[in-house]
Amino acid sequence: MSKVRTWVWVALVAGLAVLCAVLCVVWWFFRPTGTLAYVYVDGQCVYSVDLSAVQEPYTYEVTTDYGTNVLYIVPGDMRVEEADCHDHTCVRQGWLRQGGMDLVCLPHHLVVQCAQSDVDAVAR
Amino acid sequence: MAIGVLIVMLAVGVLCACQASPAAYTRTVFAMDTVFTLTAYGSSEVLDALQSIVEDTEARYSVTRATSLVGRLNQAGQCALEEEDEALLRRALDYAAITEGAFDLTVYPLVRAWGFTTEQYRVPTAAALAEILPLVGYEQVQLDAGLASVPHGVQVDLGGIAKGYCGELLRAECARRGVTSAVFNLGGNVQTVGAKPDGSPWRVAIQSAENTGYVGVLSATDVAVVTSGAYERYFEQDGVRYGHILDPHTGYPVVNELVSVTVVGSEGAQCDAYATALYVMGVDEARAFCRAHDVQALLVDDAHTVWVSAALADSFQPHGDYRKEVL
Repeated sequence: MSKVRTWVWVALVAGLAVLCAVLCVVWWFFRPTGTLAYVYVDGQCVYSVDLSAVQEPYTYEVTTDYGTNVLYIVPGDMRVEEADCHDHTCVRQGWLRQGGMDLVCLPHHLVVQCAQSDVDAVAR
Repeated sequence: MAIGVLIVMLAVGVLCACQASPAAYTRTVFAMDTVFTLTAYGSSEVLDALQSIVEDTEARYSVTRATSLVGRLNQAGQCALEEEDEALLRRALDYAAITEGAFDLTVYPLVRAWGFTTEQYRVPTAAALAEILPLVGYEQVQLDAGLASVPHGVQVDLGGIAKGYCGELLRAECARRGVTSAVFNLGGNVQTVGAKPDGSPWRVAIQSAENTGYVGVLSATDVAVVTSGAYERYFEQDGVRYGHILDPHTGYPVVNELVSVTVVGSEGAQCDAYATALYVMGVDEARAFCRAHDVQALLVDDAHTVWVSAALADSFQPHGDYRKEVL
Protein backbone atom coordinates (compact mmCIF):
# COMPACT_ATOMS: atom_id res chain seq x y z
CA MET A 1 0.00 0.00 0.00
CA SER A 2 2.81 2.32 1.00
CA LYS A 3 4.66 1.61 -2.25
CA VAL A 4 1.55 2.36 -4.27
CA ARG A 5 1.14 5.75 -2.55
CA THR A 6 4.77 6.57 -3.22
CA TRP A 7 4.33 5.88 -6.88
CA VAL A 8 1.23 8.09 -6.95
CA TRP A 9 3.30 10.95 -5.52
CA VAL A 10 6.12 10.32 -7.99
CA ALA A 11 3.67 10.34 -10.87
CA LEU A 12 2.08 13.53 -9.57
CA VAL A 13 5.39 15.36 -9.32
CA ALA A 14 6.57 14.03 -12.66
CA GLY A 15 3.33 15.26 -14.21
CA LEU A 16 3.79 18.71 -12.68
CA ALA A 17 7.39 18.90 -13.87
CA VAL A 18 6.37 17.94 -17.40
CA LEU A 19 3.56 20.49 -17.31
CA CYS A 20 6.01 23.19 -16.20
CA ALA A 21 8.44 22.26 -18.95
CA VAL A 22 5.69 22.32 -21.57
CA LEU A 23 4.47 25.72 -20.37
CA CYS A 24 8.02 27.09 -20.50
CA VAL A 25 8.49 25.82 -24.05
CA VAL A 26 5.12 27.21 -25.16
CA TRP A 27 5.95 30.60 -23.59
CA TRP A 28 9.36 30.62 -25.28
CA PHE A 29 7.90 30.06 -28.72
CA PHE A 30 4.97 32.41 -28.30
CA ARG A 31 6.66 35.16 -26.24
CA PRO A 32 6.20 38.67 -27.60
CA THR A 33 9.01 39.29 -30.05
CA GLY A 34 7.82 42.52 -31.61
CA THR A 35 9.21 45.94 -30.94
CA LEU A 36 6.50 47.56 -28.90
CA ALA A 37 6.49 51.29 -28.40
CA TYR A 38 4.22 53.06 -25.96
CA VAL A 39 3.12 56.68 -25.92
CA TYR A 40 2.33 58.11 -22.49
CA VAL A 41 0.80 61.42 -21.47
CA ASP A 42 1.00 62.16 -17.74
CA GLY A 43 2.05 58.54 -17.25
CA GLN A 44 -1.09 57.14 -18.93
CA CYS A 45 -0.63 55.08 -22.08
CA VAL A 46 -2.53 56.78 -24.90
CA TYR A 47 -1.20 54.77 -27.86
CA SER A 48 0.90 51.70 -28.51
CA VAL A 49 2.34 50.22 -31.67
CA ASP A 50 4.35 47.16 -32.65
CA LEU A 51 7.03 48.83 -34.73
CA SER A 52 8.15 45.51 -36.22
CA ALA A 53 4.69 45.03 -37.68
CA VAL A 54 4.48 48.44 -39.36
CA GLN A 55 4.36 48.02 -43.15
CA GLU A 56 4.01 51.57 -44.40
CA PRO A 57 5.01 54.90 -42.81
CA TYR A 58 2.16 56.84 -41.25
CA THR A 59 1.58 59.69 -38.84
CA TYR A 60 -0.34 59.59 -35.58
CA GLU A 61 -1.48 62.76 -33.83
CA VAL A 62 -1.57 62.97 -30.05
CA THR A 63 -3.67 65.92 -28.93
CA THR A 64 -4.26 66.65 -25.27
CA ASP A 65 -4.97 69.73 -23.18
CA TYR A 66 -1.22 70.42 -23.28
CA GLY A 67 -1.04 70.53 -27.08
CA THR A 68 -0.36 68.39 -30.12
CA ASN A 69 2.53 66.10 -31.08
CA VAL A 70 2.56 64.42 -34.48
CA LEU A 71 4.33 61.07 -34.43
CA TYR A 72 5.90 59.71 -37.62
CA ILE A 73 5.94 55.91 -37.54
CA VAL A 74 7.94 53.81 -39.98
CA PRO A 75 8.80 50.11 -40.07
CA GLY A 76 10.97 49.55 -37.01
CA ASP A 77 11.15 53.09 -35.64
CA MET A 78 9.31 56.31 -34.87
CA ARG A 79 9.95 59.95 -34.03
CA VAL A 80 8.12 63.16 -33.22
CA GLU A 81 7.68 64.90 -36.54
CA GLU A 82 5.88 68.04 -35.41
CA ALA A 83 4.79 69.61 -32.16
CA ASP A 84 3.24 72.88 -31.10
CA CYS A 85 5.29 72.99 -27.90
CA HIS A 86 7.53 76.01 -27.36
CA ASP A 87 10.94 74.31 -27.45
CA HIS A 88 10.63 71.48 -30.03
CA THR A 89 13.19 69.41 -28.13
CA CYS A 90 11.05 66.35 -28.80
CA VAL A 91 11.34 66.93 -32.56
CA ARG A 92 15.12 67.43 -32.35
CA GLN A 93 15.53 64.16 -30.43
CA GLY A 94 15.11 62.23 -33.66
CA TRP A 95 14.37 58.53 -33.86
CA LEU A 96 13.30 56.47 -30.86
CA ARG A 97 15.29 53.31 -31.55
CA GLN A 98 18.22 54.82 -33.42
CA GLY A 99 18.73 57.33 -30.62
CA GLY A 100 18.27 54.64 -28.00
CA MET A 101 16.39 56.67 -25.42
CA ASP A 102 12.87 57.79 -24.61
CA LEU A 103 11.41 60.64 -26.59
CA VAL A 104 10.19 63.31 -24.20
CA CYS A 105 8.09 66.42 -24.71
CA LEU A 106 8.22 68.15 -21.35
CA PRO A 107 5.72 70.92 -22.13
CA HIS A 108 3.17 68.33 -23.23
CA HIS A 109 4.03 65.73 -20.53
CA LEU A 110 4.49 63.20 -23.34
CA VAL A 111 6.90 60.26 -23.24
CA VAL A 112 7.49 57.67 -25.97
CA GLN A 113 9.16 54.49 -24.75
CA CYS A 114 10.35 51.34 -26.48
CA ALA A 115 9.43 48.27 -24.46
CA GLN A 116 12.16 46.05 -25.85
CA SER A 117 15.48 47.47 -24.83
CA ASP A 118 18.75 45.80 -24.00
CA VAL A 119 19.46 48.36 -21.29
CA ASP A 120 17.68 49.27 -18.05
CA ALA A 121 18.33 53.02 -18.12
CA VAL A 122 20.12 55.65 -20.17
CA ALA A 123 22.34 58.22 -18.45
CA ARG A 124 22.58 61.52 -20.30
CA MET B 1 5.37 9.35 4.66
CA ALA B 2 8.82 10.94 4.67
CA ILE B 3 9.15 10.24 0.98
CA GLY B 4 5.79 11.91 0.41
CA VAL B 5 6.90 15.10 2.20
CA LEU B 6 10.15 15.12 0.23
CA ILE B 7 8.28 14.79 -3.02
CA VAL B 8 5.90 17.62 -2.11
CA MET B 9 8.88 19.85 -1.30
CA LEU B 10 10.45 18.97 -4.63
CA ALA B 11 7.20 19.78 -6.39
CA VAL B 12 6.98 23.16 -4.65
CA GLY B 13 10.58 23.81 -5.63
CA VAL B 14 9.85 23.05 -9.26
CA LEU B 15 6.82 25.35 -9.22
CA CYS B 16 8.75 28.14 -7.53
CA ALA B 17 11.47 27.85 -10.16
CA CYS B 18 8.82 28.37 -12.79
CA GLN B 19 7.56 31.57 -11.14
CA ALA B 20 8.25 34.87 -12.87
CA SER B 21 10.58 37.44 -11.29
CA PRO B 22 8.93 40.18 -9.15
CA ALA B 23 6.71 42.51 -11.14
CA ALA B 24 8.02 45.93 -12.14
CA TYR B 25 5.96 48.95 -11.11
CA THR B 26 6.71 52.19 -12.91
CA ARG B 27 5.60 55.78 -12.43
CA THR B 28 6.40 58.85 -14.50
CA VAL B 29 6.73 62.14 -12.66
CA PHE B 30 7.26 65.53 -14.28
CA ALA B 31 9.39 67.55 -11.89
CA MET B 32 12.50 69.73 -11.75
CA ASP B 33 11.90 70.77 -15.34
CA THR B 34 12.41 67.23 -16.56
CA VAL B 35 10.82 63.79 -16.45
CA PHE B 36 11.49 61.16 -13.78
CA THR B 37 10.85 57.47 -14.39
CA LEU B 38 10.61 55.50 -11.17
CA THR B 39 10.64 51.69 -11.42
CA ALA B 40 10.47 49.49 -8.33
CA TYR B 41 10.29 45.71 -8.33
CA GLY B 42 7.91 43.78 -6.12
CA SER B 43 6.09 46.75 -4.58
CA SER B 44 3.65 49.20 -6.08
CA GLU B 45 2.90 50.89 -2.73
CA VAL B 46 6.34 52.44 -2.57
CA LEU B 47 5.68 54.55 -5.68
CA ASP B 48 3.45 57.04 -3.84
CA ALA B 49 6.17 57.64 -1.27
CA LEU B 50 8.82 57.99 -3.97
CA GLN B 51 6.73 60.50 -5.90
CA SER B 52 6.21 62.52 -2.71
CA ILE B 53 9.98 62.62 -2.18
CA VAL B 54 10.52 63.94 -5.71
CA GLU B 55 7.88 66.62 -5.29
CA ASP B 56 9.12 67.58 -1.83
CA THR B 57 12.71 67.85 -3.06
CA GLU B 58 11.61 70.16 -5.85
CA ALA B 59 9.52 72.26 -3.45
CA ARG B 60 12.47 72.64 -1.06
CA TYR B 61 15.28 73.36 -3.47
CA SER B 62 13.83 74.79 -6.71
CA VAL B 63 15.51 78.05 -7.61
CA THR B 64 12.43 79.25 -9.50
CA ARG B 65 9.99 78.83 -6.60
CA ALA B 66 9.83 81.87 -4.37
CA THR B 67 8.69 79.74 -1.44
CA SER B 68 11.54 77.23 -1.63
CA LEU B 69 14.53 77.40 0.67
CA VAL B 70 16.68 78.58 -2.23
CA GLY B 71 14.05 81.07 -3.38
CA ARG B 72 13.80 82.59 0.10
CA LEU B 73 17.57 82.73 0.50
CA ASN B 74 18.03 84.47 -2.83
CA GLN B 75 15.28 87.02 -2.14
CA ALA B 76 16.06 87.90 1.45
CA GLY B 77 19.79 87.27 1.50
CA GLN B 78 19.42 84.94 4.42
CA CYS B 79 17.34 81.97 5.43
CA ALA B 80 16.93 79.72 8.44
CA LEU B 81 17.85 76.14 7.69
CA GLU B 82 16.63 72.82 8.93
CA GLU B 83 19.31 70.28 9.74
CA GLU B 84 18.89 68.38 6.46
CA ASP B 85 19.05 71.57 4.40
CA GLU B 86 22.15 72.80 6.15
CA ALA B 87 23.83 69.44 5.60
CA LEU B 88 23.05 69.59 1.89
CA LEU B 89 24.27 73.17 1.53
CA ARG B 90 27.44 72.25 3.38
CA ARG B 91 28.00 69.34 1.03
CA ALA B 92 27.51 71.63 -1.98
CA LEU B 93 30.08 74.03 -0.56
CA ASP B 94 32.49 71.15 0.06
CA TYR B 95 32.15 69.99 -3.55
CA ALA B 96 32.76 73.55 -4.74
CA ALA B 97 35.85 73.84 -2.57
CA ILE B 98 37.40 70.52 -3.53
CA THR B 99 36.87 71.23 -7.24
CA GLU B 100 38.25 74.75 -6.76
CA GLY B 101 35.04 76.27 -8.04
CA ALA B 102 34.68 74.16 -11.16
CA PHE B 103 31.37 73.22 -9.60
CA ASP B 104 29.88 76.34 -8.08
CA LEU B 105 26.42 76.69 -6.53
CA THR B 106 26.42 80.48 -7.13
CA VAL B 107 26.61 80.35 -10.92
CA TYR B 108 22.90 81.21 -11.31
CA PRO B 109 23.34 84.91 -12.29
CA LEU B 110 25.49 83.77 -15.21
CA VAL B 111 22.97 81.14 -16.26
CA ARG B 112 20.29 83.85 -16.30
CA ALA B 113 22.49 86.22 -18.30
CA TRP B 114 22.82 83.62 -21.05
CA GLY B 115 19.05 83.01 -21.02
CA PHE B 116 19.25 79.33 -20.11
CA THR B 117 16.63 79.73 -17.38
CA THR B 118 14.00 81.22 -19.67
CA GLU B 119 15.13 79.80 -23.03
CA GLN B 120 15.35 83.40 -24.25
CA TYR B 121 18.92 82.77 -25.31
CA ARG B 122 21.44 85.57 -25.88
CA VAL B 123 25.18 86.10 -25.82
CA PRO B 124 25.98 88.60 -23.07
CA THR B 125 28.54 91.30 -23.74
CA ALA B 126 31.95 90.98 -22.12
CA ALA B 127 31.11 94.03 -20.04
CA ALA B 128 27.91 92.43 -18.78
CA LEU B 129 29.77 89.27 -17.80
CA ALA B 130 32.45 91.31 -16.05
CA GLU B 131 29.73 92.88 -13.94
CA ILE B 132 28.22 89.53 -13.04
CA LEU B 133 31.40 87.56 -12.31
CA PRO B 134 32.00 89.19 -8.88
CA LEU B 135 28.62 87.75 -7.84
CA VAL B 136 29.84 84.23 -8.61
CA GLY B 137 31.89 82.48 -5.96
CA TYR B 138 30.90 79.82 -3.46
CA GLU B 139 33.08 81.46 -0.78
CA GLN B 140 30.42 84.15 -0.48
CA VAL B 141 27.85 81.73 0.93
CA GLN B 142 27.93 81.75 4.71
CA LEU B 143 26.57 78.94 6.89
CA ASP B 144 26.33 79.61 10.57
CA ALA B 145 24.32 77.69 13.16
CA GLY B 146 21.25 77.01 11.11
CA LEU B 147 21.37 80.22 9.10
CA ALA B 148 22.48 80.66 5.48
CA SER B 149 23.32 84.07 4.12
CA VAL B 150 24.60 85.55 0.87
CA PRO B 151 25.64 89.12 -0.06
CA HIS B 152 23.26 91.22 -2.13
CA GLY B 153 23.12 89.96 -5.72
CA VAL B 154 24.67 86.56 -5.02
CA GLN B 155 22.26 83.78 -5.85
CA VAL B 156 22.37 80.13 -4.86
CA ASP B 157 21.17 77.35 -7.14
CA LEU B 158 21.18 73.74 -5.96
CA GLY B 159 19.99 72.48 -9.36
CA GLY B 160 23.46 71.07 -9.94
CA ILE B 161 23.02 68.50 -7.19
CA ALA B 162 19.26 68.35 -6.54
CA LYS B 163 18.55 65.40 -8.83
CA GLY B 164 21.49 63.46 -7.49
CA TYR B 165 20.42 64.20 -3.94
CA CYS B 166 16.88 63.17 -4.78
CA GLY B 167 18.28 59.83 -5.97
CA GLU B 168 19.92 59.36 -2.57
CA LEU B 169 16.61 60.02 -0.82
CA LEU B 170 14.76 57.61 -3.11
CA ARG B 171 17.31 54.88 -2.45
CA ALA B 172 17.02 55.44 1.32
CA GLU B 173 13.23 55.21 1.12
CA CYS B 174 13.52 51.90 -0.71
CA ALA B 175 15.82 50.61 2.02
CA ARG B 176 13.33 51.70 4.69
CA ARG B 177 10.53 49.84 2.93
CA GLY B 178 12.47 46.72 2.12
CA VAL B 179 12.54 47.31 -1.64
CA THR B 180 15.79 45.73 -2.77
CA SER B 181 15.55 46.22 -6.52
CA ALA B 182 14.71 49.48 -8.25
CA VAL B 183 16.02 51.80 -10.94
CA PHE B 184 15.25 55.49 -11.28
CA ASN B 185 15.91 57.71 -14.24
CA LEU B 186 15.85 61.25 -12.90
CA GLY B 187 15.98 63.29 -16.08
CA GLY B 188 19.11 61.47 -17.21
CA ASN B 189 20.58 60.91 -13.74
CA VAL B 190 20.34 57.19 -13.08
CA GLN B 191 20.04 55.86 -9.54
CA THR B 192 20.10 52.11 -9.07
CA VAL B 193 18.92 50.32 -5.93
CA GLY B 194 20.52 46.94 -5.36
CA ALA B 195 20.78 44.67 -8.36
CA LYS B 196 18.16 43.47 -10.82
CA PRO B 197 15.63 41.00 -9.42
CA ASP B 198 17.61 38.11 -10.90
CA GLY B 199 20.75 39.30 -9.09
CA SER B 200 22.57 40.60 -12.16
CA PRO B 201 23.80 44.22 -12.36
CA TRP B 202 21.71 46.91 -14.02
CA ARG B 203 22.71 47.76 -17.57
CA VAL B 204 23.06 51.53 -17.76
CA ALA B 205 23.79 53.00 -21.19
CA ILE B 206 25.67 56.25 -21.66
CA GLN B 207 23.98 58.41 -24.30
CA SER B 208 26.08 59.50 -27.24
CA ALA B 209 26.30 63.21 -28.00
CA GLU B 210 25.29 62.59 -31.61
CA ASN B 211 22.05 60.93 -30.41
CA THR B 212 22.76 57.95 -32.64
CA GLY B 213 22.99 55.32 -29.95
CA TYR B 214 25.17 54.70 -26.94
CA VAL B 215 28.75 55.43 -26.02
CA GLY B 216 28.61 52.11 -24.21
CA VAL B 217 26.96 50.21 -21.42
CA LEU B 218 27.97 50.12 -17.77
CA SER B 219 27.10 47.31 -15.38
CA ALA B 220 26.03 49.00 -12.16
CA THR B 221 24.73 47.85 -8.77
CA ASP B 222 23.39 50.11 -6.02
CA VAL B 223 25.06 53.26 -7.31
CA ALA B 224 24.24 56.57 -8.93
CA VAL B 225 25.32 57.07 -12.55
CA VAL B 226 25.32 60.76 -13.46
CA THR B 227 26.24 62.26 -16.82
CA SER B 228 26.99 65.88 -17.69
CA GLY B 229 27.40 67.24 -21.17
CA ALA B 230 26.31 70.22 -23.18
CA TYR B 231 25.03 68.26 -26.17
CA GLU B 232 21.37 68.47 -25.19
CA ARG B 233 20.89 72.01 -23.90
CA TYR B 234 22.48 74.60 -26.10
CA PHE B 235 21.69 77.33 -28.58
CA GLU B 236 23.33 78.52 -31.74
CA GLN B 237 23.98 82.08 -32.77
CA ASP B 238 25.92 83.24 -35.83
CA GLY B 239 27.07 79.69 -36.43
CA VAL B 240 28.47 79.24 -32.93
CA ARG B 241 27.07 76.68 -30.51
CA TYR B 242 26.77 77.75 -26.88
CA GLY B 243 26.30 74.94 -24.35
CA HIS B 244 24.47 75.35 -21.04
CA ILE B 245 27.39 74.36 -18.78
CA LEU B 246 29.20 77.57 -17.90
CA ASP B 247 32.71 77.95 -16.56
CA PRO B 248 32.21 79.79 -13.26
CA HIS B 249 35.66 81.36 -13.60
CA THR B 250 35.16 82.91 -17.06
CA GLY B 251 31.39 83.20 -17.36
CA TYR B 252 31.44 81.56 -20.80
CA PRO B 253 30.12 78.16 -21.88
CA VAL B 254 32.68 75.41 -21.48
CA VAL B 255 34.54 74.57 -24.66
CA ASN B 256 37.06 71.76 -24.48
CA GLU B 257 37.68 68.29 -25.87
CA LEU B 258 35.21 66.66 -23.49
CA VAL B 259 31.83 65.71 -24.89
CA SER B 260 30.39 64.20 -21.73
CA VAL B 261 31.40 63.10 -18.26
CA THR B 262 29.79 60.31 -16.28
CA VAL B 263 30.49 59.84 -12.59
CA VAL B 264 29.57 56.69 -10.70
CA GLY B 265 29.29 56.47 -6.93
CA SER B 266 27.22 55.83 -3.86
CA GLU B 267 26.33 59.50 -3.28
CA GLY B 268 24.20 60.90 -6.07
CA ALA B 269 24.70 64.54 -5.08
CA GLN B 270 28.47 64.15 -5.18
CA CYS B 271 28.28 62.39 -8.55
CA ASP B 272 26.12 65.25 -9.83
CA ALA B 273 28.54 67.95 -8.68
CA TYR B 274 31.64 66.12 -9.85
CA ALA B 275 30.18 65.35 -13.29
CA THR B 276 29.72 69.08 -13.88
CA ALA B 277 33.09 69.96 -12.38
CA LEU B 278 35.03 67.40 -14.43
CA TYR B 279 33.33 68.63 -17.60
CA VAL B 280 34.42 72.18 -16.77
CA MET B 281 38.00 71.05 -16.04
CA GLY B 282 38.69 69.40 -19.38
CA VAL B 283 40.19 65.98 -19.94
CA ASP B 284 43.68 66.38 -18.49
CA GLU B 285 42.66 68.13 -15.29
CA ALA B 286 39.67 65.82 -14.91
CA ARG B 287 41.84 62.71 -15.21
CA ALA B 288 44.21 64.07 -12.58
CA PHE B 289 41.30 64.95 -10.28
CA CYS B 290 39.78 61.48 -10.60
CA ARG B 291 43.07 59.82 -9.75
CA ALA B 292 43.78 62.14 -6.85
CA HIS B 293 40.33 61.85 -5.29
CA ASP B 294 39.48 58.26 -6.24
CA VAL B 295 36.52 59.36 -8.35
CA GLN B 296 35.03 56.70 -10.61
CA ALA B 297 34.30 58.32 -13.93
CA LEU B 298 33.98 57.91 -17.69
CA LEU B 299 35.28 60.87 -19.67
CA VAL B 300 34.18 60.89 -23.31
CA ASP B 301 36.25 63.10 -25.61
CA ASP B 302 35.58 64.35 -29.12
CA ALA B 303 37.81 61.66 -30.63
CA HIS B 304 35.45 58.98 -29.20
CA THR B 305 37.94 57.91 -26.57
CA VAL B 306 36.33 56.96 -23.28
CA TRP B 307 38.72 57.52 -20.39
CA VAL B 308 37.60 55.04 -17.75
CA SER B 309 38.61 54.80 -14.10
CA ALA B 310 40.43 51.54 -13.42
CA ALA B 311 37.68 50.41 -11.05
CA LEU B 312 35.09 50.69 -13.84
CA ALA B 313 37.18 49.30 -16.69
CA ASP B 314 35.80 45.77 -16.51
CA SER B 315 32.19 46.83 -16.05
CA PHE B 316 32.08 49.23 -19.02
CA GLN B 317 31.70 47.99 -22.58
CA PRO B 318 32.06 50.60 -25.35
CA HIS B 319 29.81 50.51 -28.39
CA GLY B 320 30.52 51.23 -32.03
CA ASP B 321 33.69 53.20 -32.69
CA TYR B 322 34.14 54.29 -29.08
CA ARG B 323 37.27 52.87 -27.47
CA LYS B 324 38.17 52.82 -23.82
CA GLU B 325 41.40 53.84 -22.16
CA VAL B 326 42.10 53.62 -18.46
CA LEU B 327 42.52 57.12 -17.09
